Order: sequence, then structure tokens, then C-alpha cells
Amino acid sequence: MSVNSAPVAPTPLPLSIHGTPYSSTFLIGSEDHTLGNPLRHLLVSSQTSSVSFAGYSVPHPSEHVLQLRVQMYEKGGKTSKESVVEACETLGRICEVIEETVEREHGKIVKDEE
Amino acid sequence: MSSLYDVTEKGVQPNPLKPTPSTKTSKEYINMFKKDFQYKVISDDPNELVCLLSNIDVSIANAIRRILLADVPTMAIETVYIDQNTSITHDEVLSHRLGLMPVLADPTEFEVGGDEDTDWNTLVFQAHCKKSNGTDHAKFSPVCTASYRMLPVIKMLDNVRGEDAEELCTLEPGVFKLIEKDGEVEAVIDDPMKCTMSRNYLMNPRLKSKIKIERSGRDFIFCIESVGQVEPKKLLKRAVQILKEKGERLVRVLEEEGN
Repeated sequence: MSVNSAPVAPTPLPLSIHGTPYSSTFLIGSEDHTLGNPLRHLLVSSQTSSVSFAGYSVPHPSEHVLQLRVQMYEKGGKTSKESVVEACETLGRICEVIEETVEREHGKIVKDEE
Repeated sequence: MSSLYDVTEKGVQPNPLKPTPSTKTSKEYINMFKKDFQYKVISDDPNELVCLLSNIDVSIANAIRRILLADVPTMAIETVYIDQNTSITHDEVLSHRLGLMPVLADPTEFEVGGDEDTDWNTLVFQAHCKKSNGTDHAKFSPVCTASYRMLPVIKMLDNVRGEDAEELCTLEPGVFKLIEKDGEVEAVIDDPMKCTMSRNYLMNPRLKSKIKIERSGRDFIFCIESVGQVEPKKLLKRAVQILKEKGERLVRVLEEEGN
């Protein structure tokens, strides 16, 4: 750390879940709009049969914490946590599709690292 | 949420008739994305990549942009030990300026964090590099800038001919071109991407009624300008990988949390 930078306090918890299994608020540490907005979008647009509401906020810009609220239509089916996991997996698949398409377009030039 | 925006005198306004597409299940969404997503390179230089990402949600496009700015790691000088400095530049100013220099080292060969020295260069000072990302300090950001703009969608509602056609070509340079038709000049669409959204054509009431300019909220013209360490197309690939890793990290902590 350089002399000029102020240490940012580490997030107390990487994750905590509040509420009931079918309407939960997830407090996610070390994440911000970068992950929050795509997840919110996927919860709202890709699981319309089960998710009734999804929203996110970053309560304070200097605290690296993301709040994600997920509510389900019915109790007994998929839980909020399961739908968040599903949204993360969908995001992963989308990233893979983008990566494959970019690689195909640029040929093997992009082949690096690993 | 709208996927099409009208460009009017008052500004850019969402068109409620064109909502963002949605699906009942994640599987359908992935299939829809696979089918619709398109990637097109507009220009590819060692330092600047301009490309079009089509049929992608704005939240994902913005995540890629944010990751490019703040989450893709690079190497930069972090600590400088000065043995002798008799110049007019103070040690701390010199060290700061050295820190801002792009370091041509492949960040994939280094680990993040760690205080051990990875590189040094002695003239009258030693420069110690560190691997980190833009969140830590802007000097670690791999891009000069990474930005996107929504793709302009231009519709000709009626033929534009004669003086109006010539006026249109000067108002929106590069977007329209003139062709000869029935002994008269006519303006036709040439390159919508050149549209700057100046909205100048709206000043002419005849042009206003004949042309409609919109912006697509699902097609983004990305411009990735690298500082020089990593090629912009590699940066794009790394950014997408980092977004995927962020999702995987969340799945991991969710599964650890027994609840």
C-alpha cells in the first residue's frame, strides 16, 4: 500500500442472508453495480415464471457492499437463494457465449494466458 | 425497461412499445441469447478496438465496461527507493510520476498482492512493481478509456430530395450519401454509426417529418482504448472472464452459507 492511499475497512462478512427463504435480502461483500445490475436483470428477465421481484442497491459508494432483494411468487417452489444461484449460472453461460464469439471473430490471436 | 429510445428535441426518451425481452426460464434465456447475440469488429488496432455488441442487455454491457476500467489487473510501479536525486523534481513527485507509467509486463505471470519485489531497475533508484487493479489506484487501470454508445437506428419515412438532401448531408456528415435519381439528388442512408445524435435535422420541419432517428438500447458500440500493456481484444476477453468469475464467487459463498 502506498503512503497516500487510505486503507478501506474489510467487509465484515462476505455474505449474509436476511428475510425468509422465499423473500430474502442478500448482503454481498466486495461487490457493487458491476455484479448487482446484471444479476438484477437476469432475475427479473430470465426467470419470470418464479421471481416476482428483484432489486439491488449499493447503500454507500465507499462501502463495498451490495444489497440484493429477491422475492418469489409462491412458497414451496424455488427459493430466492436458488434463483440467485441460477442467475449466476446464467450469467456464466452468457459470458462463455460472449467469449466464444469474440474468440471466433478475432481468430486465435486472443488465445493467451492459461 | 425499454430497448428502444426515441431521439426528440427534448432528449432521448424510452419507447414503452419496445420493452426488454424476457423469458420464463433461464434455459430459454440462454438459448435466446445464443441465437441473438452478435459481435462485430468495426476497427481493430493494437491500441484501440471499436466493436459492436448486439442483442445484449445494457446491464451486462455496463458490467463489461466497469470491469475494464476497474477490475482487470495490470502491473505498475508501487514503491520507489531513491539512492540519489539531485534534480529539481522532488522524490515524492518523481515516484508518483513513475507510478503512472505503464509497465510492459504481462500481469498473468504475476500474483495479486504480496509485498515481495517482482521487478527492479536501478539507475539511481529502484522501482518495485505490484500487480493490482483500477479499484486500488487509477494507475493500474488497463484502459485510457472504455466506453460504449447505443447504436443509432435511422428510419427514412419519405424520400429526401433536392436541397433538403444536400442540407441533410451537411447536418449529419457521413450518415447519409447523395445519389442521382430521376435527374435529382436524393439522400440515402450510408453509415448510421457515424450519427453523432446532434439532432440538427430536427430544425428543418420537412426533414423532421421525413426522418426518424432512434437509439437501440440492446446494441452497443464499444470503444476500448488500451494504455499499451494489453491488447484491447485481450482486455475484452479478460473482462468477460472476470464477470463470470464474479458470478462463480457468489455461488461459492452462497453454498458455503448453510442458511
